[in-house]
Parts: sequence; structure tokens; C-alpha cells
Amino acid sequence: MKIAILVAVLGERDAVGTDAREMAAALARRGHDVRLFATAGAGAEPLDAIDEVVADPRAVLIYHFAFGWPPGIDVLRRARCRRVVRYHNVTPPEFFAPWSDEYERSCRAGRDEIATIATLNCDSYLCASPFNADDFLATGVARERIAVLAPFNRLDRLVETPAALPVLDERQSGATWLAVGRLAPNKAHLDLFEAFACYLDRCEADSRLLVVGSEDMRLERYNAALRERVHALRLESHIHWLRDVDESALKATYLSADALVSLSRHEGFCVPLAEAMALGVPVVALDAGAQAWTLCGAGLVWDSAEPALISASIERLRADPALRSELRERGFARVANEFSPQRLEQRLADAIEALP
Amino acid sequence: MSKHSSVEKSDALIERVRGEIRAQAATLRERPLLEREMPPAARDERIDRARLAYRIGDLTDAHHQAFVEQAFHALLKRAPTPAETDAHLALLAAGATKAEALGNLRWSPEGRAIGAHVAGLAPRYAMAKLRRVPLLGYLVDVPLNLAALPALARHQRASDAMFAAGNAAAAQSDRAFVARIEALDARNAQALEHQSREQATLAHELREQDARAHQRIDDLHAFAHELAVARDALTRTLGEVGDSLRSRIETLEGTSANMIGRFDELEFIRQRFYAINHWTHHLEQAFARIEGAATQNNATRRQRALQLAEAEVVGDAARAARNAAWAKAFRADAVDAAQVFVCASGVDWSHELASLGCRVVHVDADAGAARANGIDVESADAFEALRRCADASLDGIAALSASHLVLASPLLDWLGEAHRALRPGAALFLADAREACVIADEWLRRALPPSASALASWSPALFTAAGFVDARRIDAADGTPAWLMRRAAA
Repeated sequence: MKIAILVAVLGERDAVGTDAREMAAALARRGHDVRLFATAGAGAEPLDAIDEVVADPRAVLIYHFAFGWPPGIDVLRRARCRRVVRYHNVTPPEFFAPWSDEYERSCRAGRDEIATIATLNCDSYLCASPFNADDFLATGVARERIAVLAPFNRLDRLVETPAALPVLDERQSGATWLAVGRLAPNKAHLDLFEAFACYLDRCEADSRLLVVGSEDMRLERYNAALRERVHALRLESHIHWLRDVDESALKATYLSADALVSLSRHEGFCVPLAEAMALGVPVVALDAGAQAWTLCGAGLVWDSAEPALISASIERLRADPALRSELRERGFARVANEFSPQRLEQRLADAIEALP
Repeated sequence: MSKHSSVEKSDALIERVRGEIRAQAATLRERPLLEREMPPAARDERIDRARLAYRIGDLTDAHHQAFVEQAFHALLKRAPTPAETDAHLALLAAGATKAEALGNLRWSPEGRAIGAHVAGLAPRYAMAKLRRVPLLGYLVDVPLNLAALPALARHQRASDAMFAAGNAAAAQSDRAFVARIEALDARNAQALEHQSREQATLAHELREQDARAHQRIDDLHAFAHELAVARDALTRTLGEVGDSLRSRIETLEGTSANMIGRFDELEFIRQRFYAINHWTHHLEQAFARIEGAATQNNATRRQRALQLAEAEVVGDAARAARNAAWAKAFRADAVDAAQVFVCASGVDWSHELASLGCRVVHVDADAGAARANGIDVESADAFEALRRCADASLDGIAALSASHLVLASPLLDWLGEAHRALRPGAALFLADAREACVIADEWLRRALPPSASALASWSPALFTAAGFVDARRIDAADGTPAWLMRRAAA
């Protein structure tokens, strides 16, 4: 079967790019003729070459929808083949309103496109989580056309990659908090810094916070606000900023952490949670977006980012080996049952075969 | 069930832990504030973190950058960042007093959190801030400065003297520096000469080491070559092993396919076997029914034949006289009340003997015809009935149609059984009359063997050999042959 996978930008390591690439590999293993199309990205064909595929009624188009992108809508409209929308979620513009007009406009356009895509009456809507599925259910898309399929990932590779020893050697006596994700307003790093400062002041003063993620130049106002908050809370010497880390260093940061802390207020899935579970790292997270579903009991999930609550969670995890073990076992089971590549590949194959 | 129970238990554990964490969080703010431990790189031994009380003179003696660093160490318990240092130096260069700089740090949010006490700082800082107020600051500043003019002049003169002393000390220091530099130049020259010698020595050693390194590299190249050869060999071996395994797998797959085919055949054969077994069973039942019907048919035919034969026997006018004569002769050889075994005869013959005082046992396979006559009748095969008789238990055996007896069993077998069952001296009578059983056999086409049917040709020697004595012919008047003899004594 001919399958065209369409994504605006085919990144090497971001969640959407990884999902698209691994999905293509999985379908190719099943014997399908898979081609990737994007405006940019290694291994992708240009957008104008997609018409020869989507004109074939027996072919399948899978469109990865993560933000507003009118050319993607155009392809969906003119496609004569069976159409599948892979929905990663679009961050609500309200998060960006104080920081970036450009981001706010882009996210608003993306949210508006949800209704547009719903009216295109596609054959299937593959959502990364039930939280994402709610967006299309709210627009009136029939429930039987909506399916949940967690994002394809590289957890196997991360588990098998050797950890970078220099990073592991930096471990110290105090607690090590870990935050993974780009620096964006919805990720709530400001809340994280408040919670971490509380931990330093009340629990263990020689602790550190590893922040893995890149700054976005278009969010300079937000970046400056982060720096000011770090200075005001006197966290400079306690925060380690890790940018452009490779898989080996990323694994080492996970292994050296006492917990992954995610106080993000909006997540369509949150791959770092799955990575932490795959590596046996306990998770403390906010019950926002899809995070509670992704963890499914394999972490401490709170409905509030109150600093004392988050700090007490880390303190308890540090002092309670049985709790750590329980959460670790749950995490391993969750990954094996729901997010392993083999399981995802089978579910994707089932979804493709079920197309009319 | 146990797994489900385990999940519930662990859920309960998590819920309990969550409750305990909430309780712990509620008390977290009540804990004393910890002093943050800086990572090693951030620690500064010049910072006395325990000291929170100062006099203003302790902090204002230093100048310029030293003043800024000392102020940060004392009031914020940390080193200033480069930006912070630049900002405070700019403030001082703009004419701000040290008291104002100190006050800015002491009453910043960070300084308030630390809470160091500097005696005398508060009024000076307040005055410095007051001087910053437009107009009012000027009105305050001018009278204060005018009042302080004598002191300022004294400070100026003291400064002049201090600078002059400083200049003289600086000139002396310069001279000392020049002398020091000249001494250093001389030492440098010596050092250079020594260094050139050392360099020559080092160069020689380096050349030797270089040669050794080249040799080592050559060795490593040779080793790498050997490794490459070994790797190629290993690759070939692995390839061969892979080919072998693939071949083996293909063979096994073929064998497996064959086995599956065989299994199919076996299943087919098994089904056929069951089917044949089923058919065989039905066939056996059919044969049994056919044989039963045939047996029944034969019995019916024989019964009819016997009835007709008996009617014919009744019509034999000479039969009564013949039987009476034979009975008389038999009775003459038998003891009184002799126990006589009668077979292959009509029942009237048994009556004839009974009337002469014999105790007769009449044996007839077709006993139904004789039962009504009221004598002791046994329904059985004659030969089998004789075999059941005890040894030497009979006083006589009489059979009118001996040829019928030998139809089923050989004559010698008969004679042997008769010899066993008869008492010594007991009589044996054998005739060849056409009794009903013989007539029925003829009608049913059961032909007699030629030798058996020739009773007349039997000789006394035959009976003597069988253990009998006094064998003699007592043929009837109509010529029907008959033999009478006795069992020999033991």
C-alpha cells in the first residue's frame, strides 16, 4: 500500500519528527511503500511531490498536525486517497500572550484549524492521547473515527545507549531534580523554580536542578523572565542548564536524577515522562493535559504546583525506597504495555487495516 | 485474581503515601530556613557567613573594587557578579557615598533576608537618600557641607600629605622594582643558557623516543593487519555458519512441511480406519443375522424333514417285528433293570426296551418330538451326551441307525467313548435301520461317507480291536444289518 506521511517540518529529535520518522519505519517494516513529505528536514521529499501519491484512491495520507499550517490543510482538501490525521495537540495561545505575539498568532491559527480539519471528514483521527481526542470530539467528529495511539518514540534506543560517565560523575550528596523540555511558557519553568527554591530552603540546601532544553530566540522576553526569577531566588549556582545534549548525556541526566519534575500546564502526551518511566526514574507531575494519562499511576501526580507539595514529594521519594521501587515497576509496566515500539507498530497496523 | 488484588494493594499504598506527602507539605513552611550550601565552585573563604554584626568603619575602609566585594561578602554573604560590580563602581564614580552603596545592599530584598546589622549605617544611608531628593537635598547638602568646611580642609591637607608620602613611597618602590628587574634579567640570562642545554638534551631524547614510537607504530600496524586478517577469517566463518544455518533452516522447513503432509495423510488414514471399522462391525452384524436366519432355516427344514420321516417310518410294516426281535436279543445280553443309553433311534425303540425292564435314557438332538412320550429323554447331541457319562456307568448302548451317529463323529471315536462308559460285560447294539433321522439326513442331502454307511461290511476284528467281545451279526429278517457285542472285561 502506498502511504504518504506529511509533516510541516521533519525534525531529527523533536517529538513530532520522531513520531513521523518512526511511524514511517514501522509501516515500511510491514511492507508498505512509505514516503515522507515536509517543507524541511533530512530525508523528506518536497511538498509538491505528494500529489502523485494522494491522487491514488487506494493510497493513504497521514498528516501530522501540531500547529497551524495552511499548506497541510490544502493537501488534505485535494487528496483523493484515504486520509488520516495524526494529532499531537496545539498549545493554547493564552500561554504565549504575555511573551510572544508571533507564537500567540501561530497557536491561535492552529487551534482554529482543529475545527477546519474536523469538517474535512477524514477517515481517521489518530490522537496521541485521550486528552487530544477530546479536541476532536468537541468539534463533533464521530467517536468511531477517533483512535488513541501514543507517539512513536526511541525509548528502546535510549535504554540501550550507554550513559555519559562525566555527567554521572557530577552527582552530589543533595537531591537532583530533572526537568526535560524546551523553555516555553506552557512548560511552567517559573513554577518549577519556585518549587525548587522551596526545597533548597526547607529540605536540602545542597541540591541541584538539571534543566534539559533549549531556549527559543523568539521567546526572549520569556527567557529574560526566567533568568530574573533564577536571580531573584538565588538559584544561579544550583541550576545546571543543559542544551543540545545527545542521547548519551540525556540518559546520564535521567540516571543521575532523583526525580523528573514536570509542572507543565499543557501537554498532548509528554515524551519525557515516558523516557523517565523507561529508565526507572520516578516522576512528579502536575495533573494537566495528558500527563496523568501518560503516567497512569506510575508517578506522583498533583492537581497543584504548590512548591511545598512538590518539595515534600521529592523529599519522600528520596527517603522511601519502597515507593521508588513501586513507581519504577509501574513505569516499566506502563512502557511495556502501552509505549513499546512493537505495541505501537501493531496498533498502527490495525488502524491502517481498519480504514475503509 | 491475585494480580488484581496486588494492583489494588499498590493503589492503596500510593494513596496512603499521597496523604502523607500532603501532610508533610503542610508543615514544610514551619521548618527553619536552611542556609544554602553553595557548590564548591561558588564557595568563597572570605565570606564569614556566621557574622551578622558590623561597624560601618569595618566596611568603608576599603576602596573601589575591594570595597564592593567586601560589602557583598558582609551584607549578602556572596560574591558580586561582574555586572553587579560594574554597577556599584559606576555608582561610586558618579559621586555616591559608600554609605549609600552599603545601604542599597543592606535594604535590598536579598539583604533584608540575610539581615546583617551595620552600626551607624542607617542615619548615614537616610542622609544620603535625603540628599538625592531634588531641592530639599540641595538645601540640606549645602549647609552641611559649609559646616564641614574646616574638617574638609583638614582632610584635604591630610590627603595632600598622604599623597606626597605615597608618591615618595612609590618612587622608592620604583627604584626597588628597577633593581629587582635587573637582578631578574641576570637570572633570566642564566636560565636561558641552562634552558638551551636542556633543550639540546631533550631534543636528543625526543629523537630517540620518536624512533621508538615509530617502531611501536609499525608494530601496531602489523598487529592491526593481523587483526584485519583474523576479522576477515571470522567474517568468512560467520558467513559459512550463516549459510549453513540458513540451509539447515530450509531443510527443517522442508521436513516440517513433509511432516505436516504426513500428519494430513495419517489423519486421512485414521478417518478411513474408523470408517472401515464401522463398516466391518455392520458387516459382522449382517453376517450374524444371516447365519442366525440360516440356522433357523436349517432347524425348521430339519424339523419338517423329521416329521415327514417319522411318518414314513410309521408306514414301515416290518419295523415292529424287526425291533421286537432286536430288543429280545439285546435284553438277553443285558442284566436286569439295565441302564441303557439309546440314541439315533425312534422313541418307540426306547419304549420297546423299557417294556423289557430296561431303564432307558433316550438321547435325541431333536428332543421336541420325543418329549411327549413320557420317557426319560435328554435333548442333546448323542456323542456329547455319551462323553458326559461317567466311566463304566452304563449297562448297555443301543442305536438303530448307527450310520447317523458316524455322520457327525468318526466310528472309532464312538467305539472308544462307548467302551469307556459301559461296564465290563455290558451290551452294545448297533443296527443300520432307516430311522427317521437317517431318512431326514437323506432328504436334507447329508450323504453318509461310503465306509460309514457299509455297516454290513464291518468285521468282528474291528470291534475286538476297540475292546469288545462276542461281536456277532443279528441281521433282521428283512436283511437289515445289525451287530450285538459286549464290552470286554477289564
